[in-house]
Amino acid sequence: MARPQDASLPRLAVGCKWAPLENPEAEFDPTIEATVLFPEGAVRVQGTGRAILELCDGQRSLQQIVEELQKQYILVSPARIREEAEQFLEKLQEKRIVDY
Amino acid sequence: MPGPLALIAEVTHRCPMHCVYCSNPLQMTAAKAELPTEDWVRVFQQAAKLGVLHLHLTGGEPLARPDLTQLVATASKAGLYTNLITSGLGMTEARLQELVGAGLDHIQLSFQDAREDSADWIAGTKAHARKLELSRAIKQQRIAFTVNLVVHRQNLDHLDETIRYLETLQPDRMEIAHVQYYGWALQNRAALMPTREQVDKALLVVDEAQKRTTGRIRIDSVVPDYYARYPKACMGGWGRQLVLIDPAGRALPCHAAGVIPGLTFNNVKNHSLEWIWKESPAFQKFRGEDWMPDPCRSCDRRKEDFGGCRCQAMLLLGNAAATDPACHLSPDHHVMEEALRATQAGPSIAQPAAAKSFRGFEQAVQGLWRYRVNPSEK
Repeated sequence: MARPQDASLPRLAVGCKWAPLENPEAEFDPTIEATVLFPEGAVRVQGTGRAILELCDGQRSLQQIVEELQKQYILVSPARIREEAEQFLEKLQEKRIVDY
Repeated sequence: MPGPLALIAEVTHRCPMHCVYCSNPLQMTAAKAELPTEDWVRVFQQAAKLGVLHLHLTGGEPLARPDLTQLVATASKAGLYTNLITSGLGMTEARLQELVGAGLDHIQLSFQDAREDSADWIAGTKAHARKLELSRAIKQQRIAFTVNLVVHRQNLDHLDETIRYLETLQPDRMEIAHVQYYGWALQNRAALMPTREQVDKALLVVDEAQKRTTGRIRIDSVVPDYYARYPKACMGGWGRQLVLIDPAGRALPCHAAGVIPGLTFNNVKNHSLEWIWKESPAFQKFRGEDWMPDPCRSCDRRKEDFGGCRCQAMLLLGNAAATDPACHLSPDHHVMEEALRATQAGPSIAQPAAAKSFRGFEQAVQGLWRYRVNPSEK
């Protein structure tokens, strides 16, 4: 499958979801890291990765996601934000964690 | 110490299938000794608090439990990612809908082969056609769908055909697992152990399939350790990531640990999951590196493979604290090589037998393999 397009609507794939944040035994800081659960696995995300994924709600288009990220990361060039978001989403799509 | 990441709940040993490589122990739990609903509910709640992320409901056939929907609902409400590992026998569309409604996240449906005659012969029952119907019903639901295929000498020669066939069922994920030789599989090793040529060819076939299906299907494969240079990191290390509860409530570090003598596996009826994980002697027995013999003790790979599989060391060497003989550095590696030589001289690929009943299958396969039987009623 190709990279997401401007009008693509990225979302967590069927059977993938955020782990509950209020885990008393968690070794990590929930204000920094979050976990996405998928069949037979889990991936921890933080920083830009987490910011991108949290915007993937199936409502926002890739275009809108990139615009929102530009507001959060004002020192990064828009072209770089777009490139990173596309690459990241494509990688997760291949793992069947994201659909668009 | 971090908590377990996953809980494997063997909710019953009852199963309508008789697969010749079943991972259940030879001594199974009778229906009457199974944990009641309220005990499972408590365990799932404790698991979520302990940091468990994934719950794998397995068996036997979990659908044999009439309370399965309630178990799924409890687990889901506790925040666990809930996976049902099933043969599909006992599933109806109504029940599937109920399970999805209760919060089931993922269903893993087993296949024995693409060819119906071979599939039914491996399972010792006519089940294949039902699985096809169920696959279509699963695709109608919003749920992750994995198809699982166990591969061995008797079905590897047409692996490419089987994978292409499973692709048409449109799963999100495919698991292609070589038989692991414990329990029933170890008894049937002579008929199931693949040849070196089959193993090499399977690697290429799976690799091609992964390329062909990228973005559509995630294909995971489990390689056979008899042919490997290094042992597998069994269960991600003893007592490091997983806890398994058997139908009677005993907590074990893996499916097969019951074969290791001298260990007491504490029961969730009498102990909290947290105590079992952190304090119970069985979970501490091979945790960490203190138990390791040479060559593991000084090996750079010890943090990767944790010395391999304790149960395999027990079953093949009679010593659970030995280096897994799958490792070419093990002083006992010749045991593995001898087993391979012996199985190469074993039965070759057989013609699938057809039968109308389990008795009929049993009679038709005499001398080839023994089917898994069900636990006694008592």
